[in-house]
Amino acid sequence: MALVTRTSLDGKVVTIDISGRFDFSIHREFRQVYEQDQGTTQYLINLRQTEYMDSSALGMLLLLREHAGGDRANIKIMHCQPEVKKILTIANFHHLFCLD
Amino acid sequence: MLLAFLQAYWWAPVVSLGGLLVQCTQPRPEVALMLLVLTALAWGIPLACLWAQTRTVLIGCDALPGPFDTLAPDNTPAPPPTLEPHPTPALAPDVWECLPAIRSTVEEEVEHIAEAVTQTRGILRDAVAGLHQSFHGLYNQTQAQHQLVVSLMGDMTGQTTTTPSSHLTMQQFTEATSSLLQYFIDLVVNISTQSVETAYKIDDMVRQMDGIFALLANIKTITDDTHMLALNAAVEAARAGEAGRGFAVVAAEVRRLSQHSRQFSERLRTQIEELKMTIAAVRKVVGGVASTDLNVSLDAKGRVDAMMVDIKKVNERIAQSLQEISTVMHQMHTDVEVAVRALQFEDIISQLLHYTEKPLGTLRCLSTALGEAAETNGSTLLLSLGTTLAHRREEGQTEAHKPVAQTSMHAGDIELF
Repeated sequence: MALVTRTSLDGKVVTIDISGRFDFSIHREFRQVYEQDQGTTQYLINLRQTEYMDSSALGMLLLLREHAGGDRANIKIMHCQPEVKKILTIANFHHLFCLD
Repeated sequence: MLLAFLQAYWWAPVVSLGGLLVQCTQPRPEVALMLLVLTALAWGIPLACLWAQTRTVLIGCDALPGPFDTLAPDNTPAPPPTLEPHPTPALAPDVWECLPAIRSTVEEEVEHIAEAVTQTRGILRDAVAGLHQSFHGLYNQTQAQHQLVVSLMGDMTGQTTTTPSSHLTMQQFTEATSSLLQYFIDLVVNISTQSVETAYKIDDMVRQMDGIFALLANIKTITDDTHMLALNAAVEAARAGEAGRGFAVVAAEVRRLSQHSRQFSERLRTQIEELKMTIAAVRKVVGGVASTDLNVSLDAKGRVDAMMVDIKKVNERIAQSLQEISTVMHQMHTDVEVAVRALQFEDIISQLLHYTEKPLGTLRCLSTALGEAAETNGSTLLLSLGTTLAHRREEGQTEAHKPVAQTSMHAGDIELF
């Protein structure tokens, strides 16, 4: 599975593990994670296994942020590989998200 | 030499011989004693004179001037000086004959020297003037060069205010490129975001269409039931006979309507199926738009950033080089100053050469006097010449020994005119 979701016990923190290619092919699954509003206060995107990211992934992340409240959103992108980190940096995502 | 001696003092041997003869003829001791005394006297006087002469000659040799030594063609010495010196000693005739030759030689050589000195001064003056001009020209050229380099480097680094606004420096160009790249990256991200949103909306649409399908399924059930109902009604109407004829017509109409309904919903279903396929195609297109590979942009941005670093390094090198050029310019200035100061040697040498005129004048005077003496054959002129030369030498010595005191080029300040 390219995308695995884990929720904390109290349901407030949702962790999304993405492996392989983070691109348009998983856009439906990605949306399903947050479509139903379950009172999540924090999202943790785990990119340790992510080998490749394209612009649609950036779009998905931005839409998640919009859904989670825009500037009030609490989203952390963790364990980026160097290539992935470079892409996040040139898109200025370090100003919008918490990059690990 | 002995012959001359005997010629002068002939009486000494005569006296001694005479005495001997008398002694031989008249052998008396008194006479012999007297003869002895006489002989002694006779030889003693010439010997004494000879002794005195030798002394005088020795002293006279030291006092004799050099030039006249080599000029005597014959080897006969000057006659021994008598007790009373002659007021004007005569020269040998051969020496007189030499005088014109001496005079002409001295005159010629003096003229050669004077000519050479004049030539030297002229060449020196011209050469030094040329060098002066050259050095000043060189200095001006390097100044101009320095200005050019400074302004060029200023243009390149955008530090001068005279740069026209349309010319970008490398730095400005790279900065503009960098911000342009950033703009396009942001644009791509924006487009991707909107495309993903579109994809989400399409999903919603598809879901709604599934709802329509469900409704269509309901309609189908209803029309099937209606159709069944109409058939039943027709059967009942037939069983009722004549009374059910009206009912049979109604039943037939209902059956016809239900058939229309079925066809209609069939066509609706087909349309919606097609719509679904179209929407699937749209989603594919939107997916393509959403997915842009960012690696190319990443490469480009990386290269532009590296270029910025390089430009910074180049600017630093330029600043450093400008410093070095400044130092070189100062050094060049100093070197030109040294050269110009060194050229002041011309003044000194010119003066030195000028002062050769006095000695040459003296020599000319000497040759003229010699010539006059040769013509008139008068030794009095030679004597007066000796006095004149001595007088001139005294005059020369009252002035500074060397007209120019400077012996090296390092003394003295420099004058750049």
